[in-house]
Amino acid sequence: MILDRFEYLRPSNVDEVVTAITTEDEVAIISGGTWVVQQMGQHLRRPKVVVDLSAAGLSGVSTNQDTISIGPSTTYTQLLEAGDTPPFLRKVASGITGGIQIRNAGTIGGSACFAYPPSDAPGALVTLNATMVLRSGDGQRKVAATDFFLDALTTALRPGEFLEEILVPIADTERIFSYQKFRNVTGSTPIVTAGCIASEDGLAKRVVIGGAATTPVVVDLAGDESEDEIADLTRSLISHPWSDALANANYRRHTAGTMATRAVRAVREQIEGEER
Amino acid sequence: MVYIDDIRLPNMHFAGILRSPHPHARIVSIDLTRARRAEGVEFALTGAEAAEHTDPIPHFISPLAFGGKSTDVRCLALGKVVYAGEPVAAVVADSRQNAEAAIELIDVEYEPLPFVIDGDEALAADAPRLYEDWDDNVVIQIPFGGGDPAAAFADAEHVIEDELQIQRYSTQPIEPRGYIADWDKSARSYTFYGASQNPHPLKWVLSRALRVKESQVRVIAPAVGGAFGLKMHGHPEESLVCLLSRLSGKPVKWIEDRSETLLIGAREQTHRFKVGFNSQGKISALKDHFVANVGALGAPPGWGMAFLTGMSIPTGYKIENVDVLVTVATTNKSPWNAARGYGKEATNLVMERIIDLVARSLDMDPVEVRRRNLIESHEFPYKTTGGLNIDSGDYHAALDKAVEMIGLDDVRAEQMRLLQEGRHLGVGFAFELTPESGDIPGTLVGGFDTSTVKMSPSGEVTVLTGVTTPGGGNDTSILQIVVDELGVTMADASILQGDTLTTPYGFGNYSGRSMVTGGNAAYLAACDIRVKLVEVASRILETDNTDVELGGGFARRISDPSRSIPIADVAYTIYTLAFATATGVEPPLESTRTYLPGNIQQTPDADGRINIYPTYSNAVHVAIVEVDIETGKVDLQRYGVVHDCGTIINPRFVEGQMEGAIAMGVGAALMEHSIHDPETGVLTTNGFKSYLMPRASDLPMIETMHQVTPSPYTALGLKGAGEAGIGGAQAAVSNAVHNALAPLDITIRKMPLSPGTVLHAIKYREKELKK
Amino acid sequence: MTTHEGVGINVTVNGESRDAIIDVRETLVDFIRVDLGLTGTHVGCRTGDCGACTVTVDGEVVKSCLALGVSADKAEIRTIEGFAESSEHLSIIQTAFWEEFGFQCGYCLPGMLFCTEELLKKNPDPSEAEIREAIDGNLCRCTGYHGIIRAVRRAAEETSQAQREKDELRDEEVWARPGERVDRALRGRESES
Repeated sequence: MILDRFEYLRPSNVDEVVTAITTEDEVAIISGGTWVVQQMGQHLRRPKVVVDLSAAGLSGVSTNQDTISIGPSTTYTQLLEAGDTPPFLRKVASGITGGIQIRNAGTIGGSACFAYPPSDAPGALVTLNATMVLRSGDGQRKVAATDFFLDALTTALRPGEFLEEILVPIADTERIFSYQKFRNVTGSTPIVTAGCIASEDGLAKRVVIGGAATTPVVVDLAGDESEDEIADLTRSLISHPWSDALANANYRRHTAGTMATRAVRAVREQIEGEER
Repeated sequence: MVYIDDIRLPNMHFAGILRSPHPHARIVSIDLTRARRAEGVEFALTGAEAAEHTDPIPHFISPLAFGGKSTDVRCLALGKVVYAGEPVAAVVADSRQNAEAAIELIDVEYEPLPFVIDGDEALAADAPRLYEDWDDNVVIQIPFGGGDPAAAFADAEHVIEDELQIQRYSTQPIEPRGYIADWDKSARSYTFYGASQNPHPLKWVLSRALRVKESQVRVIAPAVGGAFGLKMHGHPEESLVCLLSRLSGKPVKWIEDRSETLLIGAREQTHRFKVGFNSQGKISALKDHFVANVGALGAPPGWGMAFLTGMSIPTGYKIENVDVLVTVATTNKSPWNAARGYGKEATNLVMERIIDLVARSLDMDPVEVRRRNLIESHEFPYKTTGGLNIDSGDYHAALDKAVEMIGLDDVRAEQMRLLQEGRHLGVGFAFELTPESGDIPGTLVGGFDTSTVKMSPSGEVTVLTGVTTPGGGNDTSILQIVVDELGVTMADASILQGDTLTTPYGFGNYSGRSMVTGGNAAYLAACDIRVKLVEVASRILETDNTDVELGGGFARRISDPSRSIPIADVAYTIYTLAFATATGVEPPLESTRTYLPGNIQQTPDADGRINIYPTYSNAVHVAIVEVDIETGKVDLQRYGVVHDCGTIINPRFVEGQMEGAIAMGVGAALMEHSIHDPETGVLTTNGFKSYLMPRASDLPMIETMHQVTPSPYTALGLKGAGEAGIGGAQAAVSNAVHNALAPLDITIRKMPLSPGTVLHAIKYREKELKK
Repeated sequence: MTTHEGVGINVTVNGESRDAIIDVRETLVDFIRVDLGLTGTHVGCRTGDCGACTVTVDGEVVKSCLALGVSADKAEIRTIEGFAESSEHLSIIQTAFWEEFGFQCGYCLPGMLFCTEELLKKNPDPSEAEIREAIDGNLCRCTGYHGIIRAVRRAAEETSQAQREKDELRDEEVWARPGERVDRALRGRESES
């Protein structure tokens, strides 16, 4: 049960959003509400103001020259249905825990801003080299996804600022990729995710691990490492492991290595397949 | 379907319950001042105030009855709390939001005390004690067994000793608990609506706790959204909402939050066992000393599960020398309640793991080891060392059917092929014995039940029964028995359950008993009415009463089916021509009958053994899994079961019970786990994101075959159905996982077999092998 | 907008326009159950995990415990009370759940029905795996999902059949293709002793 009354605002454009969130009071921004509303129900968030972005015109996927623009309020279902959605992101959206209902309500931007380490979104956006466009009364600023996720449940968003747009470089979206997700069972949030998009020169040179640490971990590779080397390197890079009732830090670290290896293997096999 | 939370009474208010954040603490003071002033609040109550108006809640099964220790359990903690989550104070407000908001304004000062949440640690001499008037934390220690285990172990060719830790887990129906109490000031009586499995015994409990007569309490159980033992009574909130209603003068509703449902645990037991056997795989001796960590002692029947785990050893195996010791330990975890399987699931899991360990040590086929040890069909009734008098069965035939159903040879071939690719497929078998329809002497866990069948002048049939349904379909099945007997159609029949004012006294729903007791009682009552219908029909049809059959809503001559009369007309005749056509046939068309199954023995035999179960269903389960040895993840690929619960009334309902129980057992085997933080003693798995349960994609279709070995001790040959599946599935899956990992020779001693646990075992073994 | 008196909203529920004054603290499921009195929508967890509170909002299935009631202003909501086209007859999907024992206690049923409808709208001939995936957001503790899978399969076949009759198509083979494992299990059932 939500215990405290709050002011509820549903702005209809970006300027109104800025006005709505510019306040001294604690603000909760909701888009699909799938995380924040249950947090409010469990008394973990007790905002004075709730700003609902669902009518602010912030959903949709479109292509502009060399980038794909994704509205933060785009639901996973919309990502699956939109023609311009990067195939990698489509794959991510199809596997969101919680069923059709969560895909219909949960949004990519909302999940990014919630920054829950085991969620798919943080790792996926870092894999895609996304740029997060943040907006406040002072205007716009752009932050690379790698710099957006600061800690568990903590992003670069400042008070009075919201996520206006997610930009994905189009060049990255057309290449071979693999998204490996490990979860204990269907109902579990991801334990570890590993995203790998082939480099321009057709190698598996970068794997991004989600779920294992408080923020996504980027594993840079030369491209010719053995699988054991990739696993070891990945495990060594998990410096701030995440741990919860579903899996402890050791398990996540170990599995990060396994999933990184599988992601690279899948990309390499596809590349070899194409070359043949 | 109207569930408890769908009921709204005029002027209904809502209870909010403040729970202890500490696993063990003295309550120094409680200040309700701020809460009483909060928005919408009508009333607030502390434990000390509650104790002025109530007595302790009677134990569903008192340990005192079996020579154990007991403690007073109250609706609100008095003086100290013994688990995190224990109710400490309560408010009544005009909305659930306001009630829960007001709880935060209750100021409680606690003095935290040292606590213990581990069962073994609780048994240490210097462990913190929950109850100051006890000299340890042991509720009860009970031995079971027989023969000469020491001599048999000494003579055994082989002996294995090992351990199995079964995790704490929980039933978690999708509907949480909920109660509404409405105190009628002028009539001085309570109407209590509750998601309850046992309305009549609950009425007794409420009357004791609330210091009123039973006639001052009416319990109505609406539709229940799943129960599985959770909705058996003794919960503090039951009498609490009644008291709140009386003291506040309002009807009061309380609906449980999922985090509260998850507090209620069950099944945490550490088994340390030893088995003696010969080179042919024949087991001669068994020892199992186990510790059950039942949390704090609650009034619900949870702790008794451990008792029945011990009593049910060694299930359907012919083992003559058995040494079982059950130690029931209290700790500062929240109490248990009953959970489907009621301890027998643990017996099956442990026994089936033992059989597979024996097979592995001899390099024998585990199916063959089962064959060599199971009771043979000509040996029934068979009295086990635990005292159970097993009625009937053909275990070997069931085993053969399971082997055939799964295509074992093909599976083994596939297993070898995949192993070449580095993939680990495993197949696991489990025999499962499910003693059902129990009767625990000296408690309101009765082995009998009562049903009334009525037919009105218009031929409408009403069945009233003391058993209740948690949604498993026993209502429909009981109705079907009656309808078949009376020759009417389902459209003309209805059944009422769950209202203590209208239904005959009965014990409700547990232990797969509803069909055996309520169904048989309804059958007997229907037979009484049938006799009258046939008699009068024969007069109307001018024939002998042996020449009358009932069916499809008509009574007709067997010799000349064209001569028929609607059954409704026969009923009307009985009510309206009692001095003419129907003379000598006593109206009304009503009968109340009780069914007491055979085979229950309440008086101990020469060895002190009782037999609390009339019927013994059995099943053979087989699971096929693949284990990813890089992650430890278990993928359940196929599942088959051969089930024998005697005569079946409605196969789909029986299958539905079995399928649901298997899913629960798979959950228990692979994922479900209630975890407490060792630092704080608080439950961390307090929602469905951390307490994982099987979803559709986690399960395969369940292939079911029935075998029918009727019970010689029940009228229709029925045996209980409803609990079977949990232990069988846990064991079959666990055995399959071990079979998949056989090339690595791994034994996993902790349940559940989550990826973390399985991978840890693999890595540990790899290290061992390197050495 | 923050008042103890509540916030005024207008929703269309099962085709009927409703004005309501709502406590901002209410989630959509509370609004539906308490304010509108439509208790067929159930509450199992309030954390978006069990799916018993599933309804459609503007045509999409969602878990109503995860939405604020005030957010539903101007929305079109369909609850289980409005699931069948008429209150007199069960829909094809409901009938299939009844016939195939697709529920026991009934508590999870509304969510299962809505997800089935959503699935069949997009995929008239789902495989067993697709059926399972479609109801993965919903927990059932009674059936082991077995009867539910059969029910969805049957609903798919009967929906297609109804569609086919509508379209006056005669090609039997196009649609009548049961999921492989369902088929196997059903065959197993037929051969049982």
